Amino acid sequence: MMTNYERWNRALCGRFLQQNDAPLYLYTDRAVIEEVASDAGVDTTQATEAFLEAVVSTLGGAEPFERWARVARSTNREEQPPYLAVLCFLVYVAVERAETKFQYYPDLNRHLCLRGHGAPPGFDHHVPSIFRHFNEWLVANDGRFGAPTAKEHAHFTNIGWPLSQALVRPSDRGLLVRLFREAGIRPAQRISGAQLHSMIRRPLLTAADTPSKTRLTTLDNDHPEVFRAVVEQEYQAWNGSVSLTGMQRLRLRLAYEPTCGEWWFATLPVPELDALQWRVGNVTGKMRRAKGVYATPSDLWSLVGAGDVGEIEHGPTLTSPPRAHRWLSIDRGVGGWVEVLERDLNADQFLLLSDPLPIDPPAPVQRHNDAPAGRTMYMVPSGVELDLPTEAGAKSTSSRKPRLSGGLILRAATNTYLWCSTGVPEIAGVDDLVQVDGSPAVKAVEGTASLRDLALPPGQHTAVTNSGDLRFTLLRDLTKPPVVYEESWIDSVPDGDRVAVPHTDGDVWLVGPNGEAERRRVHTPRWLGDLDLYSNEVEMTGMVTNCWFKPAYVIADSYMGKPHVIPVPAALAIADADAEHRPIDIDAARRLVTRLIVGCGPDERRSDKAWKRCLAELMRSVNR
Amino acid sequence: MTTTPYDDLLLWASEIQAGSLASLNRAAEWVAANVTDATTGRQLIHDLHCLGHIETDERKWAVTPPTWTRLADGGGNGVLIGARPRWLEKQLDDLDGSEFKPLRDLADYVTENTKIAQEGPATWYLTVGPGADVAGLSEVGIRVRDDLAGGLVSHLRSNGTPAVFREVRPGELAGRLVEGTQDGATGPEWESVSGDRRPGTYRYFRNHRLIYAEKIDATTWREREFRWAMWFPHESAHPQLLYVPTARHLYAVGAVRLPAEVERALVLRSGRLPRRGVAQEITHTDQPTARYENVTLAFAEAIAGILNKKVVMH
Repeated sequence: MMTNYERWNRALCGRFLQQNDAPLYLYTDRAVIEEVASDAGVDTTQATEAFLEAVVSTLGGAEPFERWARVARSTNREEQPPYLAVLCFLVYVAVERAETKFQYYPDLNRHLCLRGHGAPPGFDHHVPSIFRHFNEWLVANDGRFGAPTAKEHAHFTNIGWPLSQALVRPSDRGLLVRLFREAGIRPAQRISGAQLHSMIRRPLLTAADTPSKTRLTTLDNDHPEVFRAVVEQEYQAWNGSVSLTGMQRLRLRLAYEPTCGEWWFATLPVPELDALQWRVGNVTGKMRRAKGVYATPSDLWSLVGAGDVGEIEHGPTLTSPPRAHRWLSIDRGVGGWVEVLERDLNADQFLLLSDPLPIDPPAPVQRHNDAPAGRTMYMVPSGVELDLPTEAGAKSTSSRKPRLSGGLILRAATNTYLWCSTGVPEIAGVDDLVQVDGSPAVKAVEGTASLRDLALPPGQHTAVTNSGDLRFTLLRDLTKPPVVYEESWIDSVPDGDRVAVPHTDGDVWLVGPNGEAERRRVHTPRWLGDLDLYSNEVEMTGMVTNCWFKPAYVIADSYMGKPHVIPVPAALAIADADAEHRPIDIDAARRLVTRLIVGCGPDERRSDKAWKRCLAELMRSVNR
Repeated sequence: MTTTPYDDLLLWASEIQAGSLASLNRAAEWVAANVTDATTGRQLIHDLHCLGHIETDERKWAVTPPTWTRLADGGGNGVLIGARPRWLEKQLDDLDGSEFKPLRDLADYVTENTKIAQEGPATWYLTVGPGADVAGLSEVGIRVRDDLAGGLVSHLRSNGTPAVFREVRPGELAGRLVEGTQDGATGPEWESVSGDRRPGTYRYFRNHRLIYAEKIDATTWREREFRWAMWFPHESAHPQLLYVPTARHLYAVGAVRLPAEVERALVLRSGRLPRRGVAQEITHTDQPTARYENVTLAFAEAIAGILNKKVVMH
């Protein structure tokens, strides 16, 4: 059976020793540890503590690293290095040294439960030895697991080894590579550290403001000799490629924009990956210089926390690490609230959880109403600390309390839902069977039982679970006539100016007040046929506004025999000087006049003086 | 016709009539999870809105009163928009047997009474022949309007597009729109900038929310809702409106939907949601498009005028 240390070592080997020949950095921070935690069989929320405990438990004795130096000496090139987790631990301490700057040993001693500010006994022999053996192991494997980058430092002789892996992050190395390219530096040249430093200084100062720029600038200001050494080391490891050195995984961050209630995955923009194809779940796109990955797959919520959920072509894997809770802070670059690793007490943050907090949070913490389905969200103002349940705790809480979830709710206070196929709620927080009104039991899947297949009728229902009963009502309707609706947008919109005439077949006539007449051919709009809809009217608005005279009436034949005569609204009766002047078809116009005056004239126009005048003018015109 | 989850969402909205935006979001997310395609709850809400069924503001929503509108260029067909509560649906499904006299009177004139499914609540076409007294519909609470689409366009033209002018920066600067990216497959891109002196479209954080504004001159910003800001950016031909006269189709190019008011006007030309997807034969690119039905050239030009654009003929 594997020990905890062995599980962590195997997980870290899987993380770092991938099949590629790029320079390999063992950069290890909390995020890396959380990333591999599930591979090590540990809950993400307790990853760092578990990792430290597993490694420190192997570092006993008078000289804590002596045992691993011996192991490193005897490791052959075919087996994975069993000491890799120890190296990662040493780098982790260097990464987390922020409080003490370059005073590495106090932090290390604290983790080893040793007193003093100096190096632990044997550190100066054993730690360089383990790193050297690791470098040799990489070389012995022809660099297929990566090219060695760990090295001794001129100013920090022993701690230089872990610092060489920790001083700059993968993203900082990406920036350095970009600076090399901007400064016109080519790889594999004989350039000293001082020369490199002076060549990239200006591009660094003018680079866009990013955390990487800040870190490198600070390092340059505070420790210029260290910065020069880092630049030199990075240059020596650079093979001229634009791909990110050392980057194997790119974290997807959940992002949220409250204005339009949109959720998506984002990554930092990575200039070196510009224009490469990415895939997340069922969507693909191209890396864009200003946006990075911006993905809204349809199955977004099943991908959140699912680990590796996509990739960049020829680039890193895209991952969404599992977490019991997610903190979101405002990110101006992304333009929304974006997932961050942990609570920032100096900022307002959203907290996203799978289940509501088991106890009511303090008053300033507000539950946010726009939480996505199946999740709970809180706005946590700056300065407020919260005790959060672990993943396991949250699950056990939910399993103790069955509750109604989803459905189309009509009255929350009485658990009343709309009776329709989509309206029936689920029972959440159950691990076993649910029985409703004595019907066959429904089995819960992942803590939730769907009641849809039960075809429950309207009325009251009782769901029986191992942990208690739930009552709910399905209601057919709430509103009964008469319903008085309030004023709405409809009431502020005017009717459109238009003219249309009933029509089933044949041509349509436009008639002017001075005997003008024009016959137009009309067609049934194609989209009506596509929908199998019948047409009994023809729109004339476009025709009357595109006529050389001022049309006064529109006339269409009718299958009933009486032509339809529709007056043109004054607002639309405008002569178009640019319209084609078509000669009147006298024979057809005479037939129209005959139909209009013989026996079957339009009833509604018999007392209309304007119509009579217009008809008289038309008669004169066709008989001229 | 079998009811779909989309119809269920409209039914729910019709029965409950009004509420908080959060309640609508929850219902829409639940319904979206019950349809198999890539629809999100937010899209469903936008669809309900542009079909004229609901109205929303920053906090609340309310169902539109049931309204019958005759479609321009629609062969005399009308559509029912707004609330569709169960009692009304039952009365309209069986006009002859309705307990309301105006509906029974209308039955003889009805030439079409059918619901046609789509990826949203079904379009309910109710068509009456000449001589029908549609005013009687008001007795059962149904408003009657002629050509709502044309009315919306007239309204937008006379009242101007929604915008607020500011003489101080609207919030904390959070980026400048990269010109021409609005019609890309993944939506607009924003670049980090240290200042907003140049004319252009910017976004800002205010009260934890993003605000979009166009910088017009040294001291003036025109703040707009997101979709307006994307479709009405500073002196830009993007995104494009393409028109196919033979089919009377208008294509809106890009991932960003048209502003809500404009989209509603276009959708109410036919009662149909736009067909979304890639139309390579029209755009010759893989940009996403939304295709609107029954749009005349005059209407397309009116829409383009509202958005300060020109229609590109195909």
